[in-house]
Amino acid sequence: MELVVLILKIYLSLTALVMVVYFIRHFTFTLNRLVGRQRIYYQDILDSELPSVSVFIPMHNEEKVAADILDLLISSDYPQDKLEIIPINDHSSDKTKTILNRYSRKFPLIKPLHRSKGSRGKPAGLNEAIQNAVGEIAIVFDADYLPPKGILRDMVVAFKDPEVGAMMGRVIPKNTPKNLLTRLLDLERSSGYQIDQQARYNLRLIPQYGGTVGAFRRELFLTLGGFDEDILAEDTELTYKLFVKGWKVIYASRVECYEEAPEEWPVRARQIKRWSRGHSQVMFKYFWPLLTSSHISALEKIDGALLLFIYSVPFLISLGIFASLILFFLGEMQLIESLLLFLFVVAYNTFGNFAPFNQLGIATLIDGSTHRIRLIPLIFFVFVFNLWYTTLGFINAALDVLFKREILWQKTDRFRAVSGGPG
Amino acid sequence: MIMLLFFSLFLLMFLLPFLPGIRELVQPQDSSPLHINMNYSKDPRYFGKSFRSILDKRLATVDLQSDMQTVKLSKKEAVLFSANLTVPEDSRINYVLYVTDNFVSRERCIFEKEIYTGGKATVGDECEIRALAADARVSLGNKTNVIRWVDSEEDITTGDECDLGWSISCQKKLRIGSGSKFRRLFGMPVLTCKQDGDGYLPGHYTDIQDIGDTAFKTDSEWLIVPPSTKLNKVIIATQNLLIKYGCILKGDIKTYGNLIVEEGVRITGNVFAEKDVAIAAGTRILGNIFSQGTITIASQTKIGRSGMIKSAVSRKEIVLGRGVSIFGYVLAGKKGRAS
Amino acid sequence: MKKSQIYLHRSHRKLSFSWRKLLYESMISVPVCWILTLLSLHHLTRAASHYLLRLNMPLDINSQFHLVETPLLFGHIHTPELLGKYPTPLLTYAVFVFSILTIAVIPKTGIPKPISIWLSFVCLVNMASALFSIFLPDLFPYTIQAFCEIFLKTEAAIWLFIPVIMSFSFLPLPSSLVSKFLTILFTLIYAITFGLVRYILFVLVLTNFSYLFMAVLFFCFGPFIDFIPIVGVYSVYVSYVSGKINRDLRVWNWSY
Repeated sequence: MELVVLILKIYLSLTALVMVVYFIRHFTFTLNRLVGRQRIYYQDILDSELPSVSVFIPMHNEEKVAADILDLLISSDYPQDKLEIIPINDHSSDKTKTILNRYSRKFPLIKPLHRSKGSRGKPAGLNEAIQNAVGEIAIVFDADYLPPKGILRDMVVAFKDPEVGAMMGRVIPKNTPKNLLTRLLDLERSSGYQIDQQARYNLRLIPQYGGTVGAFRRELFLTLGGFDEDILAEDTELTYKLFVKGWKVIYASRVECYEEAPEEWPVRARQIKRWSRGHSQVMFKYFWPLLTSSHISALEKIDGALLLFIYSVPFLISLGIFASLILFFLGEMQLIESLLLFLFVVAYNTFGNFAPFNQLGIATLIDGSTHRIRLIPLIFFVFVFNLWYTTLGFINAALDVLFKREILWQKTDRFRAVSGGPG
Repeated sequence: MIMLLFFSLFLLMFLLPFLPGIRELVQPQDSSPLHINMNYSKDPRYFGKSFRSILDKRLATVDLQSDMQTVKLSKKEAVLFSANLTVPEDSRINYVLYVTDNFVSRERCIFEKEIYTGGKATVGDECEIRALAADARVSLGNKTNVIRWVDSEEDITTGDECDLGWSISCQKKLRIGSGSKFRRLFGMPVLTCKQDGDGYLPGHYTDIQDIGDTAFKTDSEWLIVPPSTKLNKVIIATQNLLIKYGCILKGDIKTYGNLIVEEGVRITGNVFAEKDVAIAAGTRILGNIFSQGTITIASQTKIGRSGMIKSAVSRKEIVLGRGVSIFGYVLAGKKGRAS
Repeated sequence: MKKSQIYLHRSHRKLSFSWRKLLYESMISVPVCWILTLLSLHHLTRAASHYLLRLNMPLDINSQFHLVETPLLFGHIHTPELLGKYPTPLLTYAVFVFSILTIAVIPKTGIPKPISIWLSFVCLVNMASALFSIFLPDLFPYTIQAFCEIFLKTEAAIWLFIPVIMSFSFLPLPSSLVSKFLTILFTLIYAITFGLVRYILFVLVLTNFSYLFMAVLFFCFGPFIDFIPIVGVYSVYVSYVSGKINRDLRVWNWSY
C-alpha cells in the first residue's frame, strides 16, 4: 500500500511538472507574441512569376457550402491560366455532385474529382486528387471556408523560400455570434493563431500545417508518400513528416480566411475526439523520428515533442484526478505539495483548453477585441467536456496502435443555409 | 438558516465572475467575427488607385468646370476644380485639389489635403504634400516632404533629401534622389540614379570553377563560396554566408545568419536572410531579396529584370546606393534611405 | 501638419516592453500582497474557525471543542475541533443510487453537454465516496479538523500564488502600475473572502449532513474553482485595457 501511495504521489508530482513546463511554454509564446521580436511573413514579396497552383477542396455532402467557396475562388486575383480548382466529391449522397458539375461546365478551371470507390476520408481523397493534379503548389481549403480574393497569391509566395515545404494561414470563425460554443471557439482560434502559431514562427520552432488555409509543394508531397490514410490528423502528420526530412512549415498571420465553427456541442465533441485521436496517432508515429532526425534543431525537437504530447495531457490530468481521489480516500492528503500544486496548476491550464487564460486574453487584445474577452471565465464549464473527449480520443489512438484498428473518417457537420450556385 | 446564508453567499461569489461574460453573451457588444477584407488583393499602387476610385464615384455627377465645391469623398471635403493650376510659393492649401490638366507648385508650399491631376505634376523644392495622384509624369523638388503617398500612371522623379512618406508608386520609372528617405517604393524600375543605364558591371569569369551540382548546408559560422564559382543549386546556410566576387549562382539562396554578396556576383534565384544582407557593387540578382534584418545594396546593382516584378523586402532598414535599379517593389519595414 | 500614421493590420501589432519595468512592478505587487496575506492569515482563520465553533458549540459547558493551532509558513492557522457526521446507510445508498441514476439520465435530458459532463463528474466523485462508505465505513481517514487544516493550507498557498500569477499575466499590458496593483489586491481580497465563505459552508455541510460529501466538496468546489475569480477579474481588466487601446492606436508598435 505504501508503494502504491508513493507511486501515486510521484505520478502527481510529475504531472504537475508537465503542467509547469507547458505553462512556461505558453507564457513564453504569449510574451514573445506581444512584446518580442516578430518575424515577418513573405506576403510583401510581389513577384510576377507565380507558380501553377492546384486548389483542393475535400467535400462530403457539402451541398450547403460548396457554391460559396467556388464562387470566391473563381473571383480570386490569381492568374487563371496558372490555376486549377479541384473539388473532391468524396462519396457524397446529397446534391454536391450536381453543384460541382454545374460549376465545372461553366468554369473550365474547376475540375471536380468524383469518388465513389476506394477508401473514404479526407486523406484518401487528397492523395488521389493530388496524384493527378498539375500545379506546382497544392492548396487545401475545407469546404466551409471563405477565401478572400488575394489569398492564393499570399499563400504561394511562401514557396519562394527554398526551405519551405508547407505554409499555414489564419482561420477566423465567421459564425462567431451564433451561440456560446461559437463564441468560445472564436477565443480559442484567436489564441491558437495570433499567439501560438505566430510565436512558434517567431522563435523558429514548429508551426503547424493545419490542413486548411494551407499549402504545400505538390511534388515534394508525392515524394514523401502523400498522406498516411490511417491517420486522422493528416495535417499534423504532414507537418512532422516535413520537419523530419529537413523542410520547414511556416505560419502566415496576415493570410486570413473565414471558417464555420461547430455550432452544436455533440459536433464539437466529435471534432475534439477526432483531433485528439489523430494527433495522438501522429505522436506514436513520429516521436522517435523527431528525436533522431538530424535536420531538426534542439529547440525544434523540444517544441515538437511538447506539441506532439499536447493531446495526451488531458489523459494525464484524468489519471491524475483519479490518483488524487485514491490518495484522498487513503488519507494521504497531508502532503500539500503533491495535491494542491496538481489541482491548482491543472486548473490554471484548464481555462484555456491547453493554453492558459492569459494567452486567450492577450490574443483577443492584439486582435482589437474588447468585450468578448469577458467570456473567458465561461470556458470553465467546458473544461471537463474537453477533458473527457480528448481523453477518449487519446485512448482510441492508443488502441489503434495496439490493435492496428481501421480508421473510419467522420466529417464535421455544416450549418450554413443552402446557397444557389452559379447562374 | 446560517447554512442557507452561506450557501447563497457562496453561490453569489461563484457566479459573480461569470456575470460580465454572461452579460456579453446575452447582450453582445463585441460578437462580430473579426473583420477580413474579402476583396483584399496586394497592390503596390493601392493608395493611388483607391483615391482615383473614390473620385470617380463621388465626382460622377459634379460639374468639373466649377471652382470650389463641397463634395463627399471619404467625408465632406472642400474641393477646388481647375484645368491647369499653378500654386505660388509659400502657399498653404487646406482643400482637395482636382486638376484636369497640369499641376505646378512653387517652392515651400504646404498641401494639407489630397491632390489629383490628370496631367503632369511638378512640385517645387521644400514643399509638403499629403498625397498626390497624377495620370502623367510627377516631379518632386528637393527636400519635398510627402506625408502619405504619391502615385503616378507614368514616371516619378524625386529631388534630393526628400522624405517620401508611406508610399511612392508609379507604373513606369521611379527615380529617387540622393539622401531621400522612404518606406515603400514601386516602379519599373526603381532607380537611384539620374541617368538611365544598365548600371550593371559584368564580373570577370575567366577563372570559373564549377564545384558541382549539389545543394549543401553547413554548420560553420561562415559559409564562404569561393570567388568566381559557378553553382547550379540551392544554397542554405545555417549561419552566415559570404559569396565572394564574380560568382554565378543559379538557384535560391537562404541563410539563417548574415549574407554578404561581393562585387560582380550574379544570382538567378531569390535571396532570403534571417539577419542582414549586404550586396556589393555591380551585383545582379534576378529574384527577390527578403531579410528579417536590414538590406544594404551598393551602387550599380540590379535587382530583377525588365518586364518582371520582383521585390526587395526588409523587416528593418533598406539602404540603396547610387545607380541601383530594382524592378518592382521595395519595402523597408522601419525606414529606407537612398544614399 | 502632423505626420500621419497609417495603422497596419492586426497581424503586425506588438507592444514595447521593458524588463526593468517588469522587475519593478513585480517587486512591488508580489511582496506587498504576500505580506498582507501572511499577516492576516492568522487572524482570518482564527475568526472563521472561532465562528464555526460558536455555531456548533453544544450547550454543555464542559465541551472539549476548541481551536487547534497549526504552524504554517511564518505564522499559524486555526482550525476547529468539531464532530462531523458519519453517513447513515440510508443516506449512503440514496446518494449512491441517485448518483448512478443522474449519470445515466443526464445525457438524455437535453442539458448542454458541458454541463451534463460536469454534473456526471460531480456524481462520479459522490459515487466513489458512497462506495467507500458502503465498503469501508470505519476507515474514513479525516476528521473535521483534519479537513479544515488541509483546506486552509491549500487555500493559503493559493492566496500566495495569486499575486504571482496575476503579475505574470498583467506584466506586458500597457496600463499603469497602480491599476494593476489595485486589481491584484482586489482579486486577492475576493479570493480570500471566497475561500473563507467556502470553508465555513463546507464545515457546516460536513457537520450537519455527513462526511460523505467531503470528497465532492474538496474536489469539485475546492481549489478547482479558485481560478474563477482570477480569470474573471483578469478578463474584465484586459477588456478595459483593450478598450482604452482601441481609442488610441498609438500604443501599438509594429512588427516592422
